Amino acid sequence: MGEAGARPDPRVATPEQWRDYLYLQRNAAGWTTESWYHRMGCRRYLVVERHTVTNEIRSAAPAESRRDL
Amino acid sequence: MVVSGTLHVYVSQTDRGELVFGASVDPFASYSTRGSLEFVEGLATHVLELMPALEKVRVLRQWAGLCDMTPDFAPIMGPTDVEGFLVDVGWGTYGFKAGPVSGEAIAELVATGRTPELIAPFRLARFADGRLVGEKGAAAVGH
Repeated sequence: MGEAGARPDPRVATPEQWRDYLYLQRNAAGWTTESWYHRMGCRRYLVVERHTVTNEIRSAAPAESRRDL
Repeated sequence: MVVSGTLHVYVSQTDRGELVFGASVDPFASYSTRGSLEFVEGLATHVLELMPALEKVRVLRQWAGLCDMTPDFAPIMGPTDVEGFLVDVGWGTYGFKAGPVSGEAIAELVATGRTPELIAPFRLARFADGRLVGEKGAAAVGH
């Protein structure tokens, strides 16, 4: 689902903040933190640390354990 | 060249006799110049569905390039907030096919200062306005 980032507060977020949250990605060539949906398996949302060059995965945790993202 | 839009694969034979297979993009961001194992397996499956007689051929090598995909899979064309700076980018997998007509439209924009109707929906500001292009642009091998 793309890079994970802190979701703006919908009560106070400006259109620019929503745009940045939805569309602007770091696109780093290296370690990145992403949201994944395990559709063909347990159907849970996960937060995954993945290297975008080697595709190595360093960690995966249920999304509910990362409320900060 | 044989292309299957349904199987998302194309097959082309080189002058040396080797067969070149191509397909789509990994469904996640990657800077690797190799396809992932799942991707290569899927491609091989589709090739055999298209040409079962190839079941005994060996894979000599595989590689991947980078595709600049935008959030709505459509290119970005038009003026920017910077005076005199125009963009014609984000063509992903199908720039070769659409390059000539987009070049013509951009040339008209440069010459007249007015954005041709043809490319108006592809403006950079569409992301800020929340007006994404609804139809995914893609080569015959889709996403």
